[in-house]
Amino acid sequence: MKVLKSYSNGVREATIRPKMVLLLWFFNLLFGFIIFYLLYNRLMEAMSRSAISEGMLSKVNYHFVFEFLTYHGQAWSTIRSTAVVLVCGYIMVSIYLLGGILHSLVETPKTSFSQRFFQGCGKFFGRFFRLFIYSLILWFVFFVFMFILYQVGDALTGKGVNEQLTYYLFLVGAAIALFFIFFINMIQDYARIKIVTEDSRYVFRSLFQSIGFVFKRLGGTLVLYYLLVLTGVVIALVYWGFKAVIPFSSAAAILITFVVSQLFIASHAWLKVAFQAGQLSYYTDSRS
Amino acid sequence: MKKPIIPLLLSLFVIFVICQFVSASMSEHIVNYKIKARLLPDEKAVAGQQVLTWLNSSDQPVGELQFHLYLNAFKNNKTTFITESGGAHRGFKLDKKNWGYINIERFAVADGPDLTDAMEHIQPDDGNEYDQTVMRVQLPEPVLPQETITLEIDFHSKLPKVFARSGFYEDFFMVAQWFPKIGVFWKGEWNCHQYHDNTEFFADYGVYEVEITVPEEYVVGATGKRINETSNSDGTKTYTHYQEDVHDFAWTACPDFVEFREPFRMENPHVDTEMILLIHRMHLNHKDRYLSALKNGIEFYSESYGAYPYPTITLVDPAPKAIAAAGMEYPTLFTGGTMWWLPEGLHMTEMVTIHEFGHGYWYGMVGSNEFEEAWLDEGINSYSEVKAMAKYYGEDRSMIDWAGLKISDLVYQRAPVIGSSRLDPILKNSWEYYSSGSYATNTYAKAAVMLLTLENYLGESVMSEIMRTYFERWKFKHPTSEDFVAVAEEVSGQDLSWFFDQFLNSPDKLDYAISRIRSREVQDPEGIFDDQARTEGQEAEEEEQEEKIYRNEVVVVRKGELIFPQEILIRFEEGEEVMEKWDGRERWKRYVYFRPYKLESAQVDPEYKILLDINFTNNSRLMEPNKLPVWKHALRLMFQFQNILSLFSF
Repeated sequence: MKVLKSYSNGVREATIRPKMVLLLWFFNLLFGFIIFYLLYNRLMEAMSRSAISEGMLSKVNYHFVFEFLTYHGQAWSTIRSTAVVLVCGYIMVSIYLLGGILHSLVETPKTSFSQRFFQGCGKFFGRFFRLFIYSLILWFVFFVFMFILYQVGDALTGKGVNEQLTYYLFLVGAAIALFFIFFINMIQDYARIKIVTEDSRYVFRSLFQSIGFVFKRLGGTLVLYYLLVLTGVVIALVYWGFKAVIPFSSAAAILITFVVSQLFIASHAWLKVAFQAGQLSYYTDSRS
Repeated sequence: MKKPIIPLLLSLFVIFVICQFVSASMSEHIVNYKIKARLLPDEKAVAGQQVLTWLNSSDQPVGELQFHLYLNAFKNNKTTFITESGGAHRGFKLDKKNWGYINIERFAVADGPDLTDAMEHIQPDDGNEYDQTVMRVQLPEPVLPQETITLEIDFHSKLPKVFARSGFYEDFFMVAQWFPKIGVFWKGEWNCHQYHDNTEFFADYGVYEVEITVPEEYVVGATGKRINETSNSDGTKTYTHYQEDVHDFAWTACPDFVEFREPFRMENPHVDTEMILLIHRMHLNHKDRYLSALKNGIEFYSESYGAYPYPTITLVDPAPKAIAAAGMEYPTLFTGGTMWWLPEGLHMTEMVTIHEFGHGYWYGMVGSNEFEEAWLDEGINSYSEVKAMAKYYGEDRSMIDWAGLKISDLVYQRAPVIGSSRLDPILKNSWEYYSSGSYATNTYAKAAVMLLTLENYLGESVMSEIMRTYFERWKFKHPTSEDFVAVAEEVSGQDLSWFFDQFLNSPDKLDYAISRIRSREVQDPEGIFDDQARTEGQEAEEEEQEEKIYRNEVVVVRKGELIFPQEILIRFEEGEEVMEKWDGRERWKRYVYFRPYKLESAQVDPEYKILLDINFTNNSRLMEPNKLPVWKHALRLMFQFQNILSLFSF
């Protein structure tokens, strides 16, 4: 019951905070727009005045794709490098924004949303960044574990000779990897929640206490986490279902698809808030 | 005088039988190999005894013989093959714990002298003293024209861990290029090149009868028809395979093979053969893919070029991890390649099957010199493969039709041509290319795209006739590029030297582009004109009467060095279309039209027939930019990037 209550709390808290969701979406769009700008200019130069563009509305012309990669390889390489830098930057921004999300969820609304939000961003960025660094230990353990798993798989399959077994072990390995990625992510979430709710400056201790918290309530924390993951999956299925029926080959269709795709991105932001709010609710309920 | 009628009739009968025999053989039998081979699984080796009869079909006495000893390419790290390749072939490394080599233990003329001590390794291509892939033997007496010599050769072939087409992986054996193979006495000299990183093979046609002895649990596949099978008391089995009109013999053995045999018959042209699939038990889920692709291959090549004439065709599926043996052709036997998990939409299995079967025509039956003119087999076969794949798997998705991706074999072939450097032409000795990549791009992809361009230029029916004639005229012979060009010119009735001289011999590129389109309103005369005086009133009157006239200008440029006649489609705003023809020789050409409306677009080669053109995008120019596709793709890529960002922020 506690899990379901936390889940519904999370969903409700995210839904009643459209400003926060919009803000998160805006930052995502801002970073995305930089790539759009680079791509738009390059594609305008590469194909807008070529008749080859006429067929590119309905389907991808792979002759063009290979020509683009050949003759605009330098620009494409710049775009890829920019994308990598942007992803790194976005990870930092996300760490920054997480402070705002949790602070806004924890604090009673005495001041305006933006005040509370950005106060939280600034207040917790340093601690969350340290948490990010300390969490690398967990990721290191994860990679060591996966490496051992890979070696075991390699031995079981005779270094890949048994392709069928290799394939199934790969799927199992991917599922295990995903599980651990989610698990480490969840531990980090509870560590951040602990830091914010207790205004703790002991980041390393918080990280290990959150591990203890998760292991003590393994069933509850996992069920809650996977309920939220499932919500994301359902949203994705709805989006892909919509995308499959839209022809995406006229100006109106492109506009509609853009709006819907941005709603999908906004739903990620909503889900992110729901994750934080739901786990915060579970944490406070479990502690009380 | 009484005529000896019975002896005469008997003589005539004998001559008739001989003529029947001669006409039944499709090639001139220069070689006749009888080999006894014993697989030594623990040693990863083959012990062989070979009796070779060689016919001197030239018009001059031959005093020395030359032999390929291909396996010696893997003997040490100083051989020409390993030096050129750096010990890696098609991404697979040579296992230095398992060198490969061939030792000749006895070499003798049948009923004649032992010449073992007269054997000498030579290096006709590069003088590399460590390379022992070619040997020669000075004969005590020359072989006179149209006479034969029979040799007895005992050899021991140690196989490498599967590398560059042949070798072993655990208990899988691909036994290829494994016996001492005589070179080709051609154009008055021995054509017997060393084994290089990029080279394949060249040999004379003849008869092979090979007895293969293996432990009885092994399943065996080999060139030709199995004519005998006996169980031996020592727990081994001996399989005898026989085939005429082939120029090589390869075999495979593995206890994990599952054998499937299916007849293939078609009426027009008449084909009656047996498909033999030796599939590794790990890949049984792909049995139907293999057999279906093989049927498609036999049907396509028989219909397009000529009936498949052999009684068998064996498709070998190499063991997992023995992928270095995959995708290789031998007469009446070839290796495919697949993986258990490979989705049906990724047509790699089908492409490899069709391509390697196709080599039964371009290499197997039309025996061009793969050392010196690799495009004649790889290029022509890749051209055939593109057409076959399009026919059976869809024009726009013949290579990949999976997860929304649709990519054709043509795109796959053209992509390396677009990005290739101007270092090598198509026609060149295979070992003299700048790199393996350059060899592959030129001999496979560029040659295939060249022939597809020629087909678009001459028309499909003419090209089809060229290919059929070339096959019919040169099957079981050794044609050269000149022979192919001669057939193309004869069948098309055109001088195609301009085409082949450029595309076979030049490393340059073909690229035509619309560099400028412009519509400018024609201005009324202003200023001082000596012939007549114009008043303001007259000008105003003319303006009222005349509609606007535009000077529409299109400039086409030749950006590459290579020349190809061009069609230029010019479209105007009111729907008018003009098709111009240009011989494409000058560096650029301007077209000017005076119309009461503006230009809409101009496009050189509007149907994209000239596939050798390395840039289709610059073939056309629109007056107004078409922004919608740009928006679509930029937004789509932005969305994908936003998803990545979301993923990293959770």
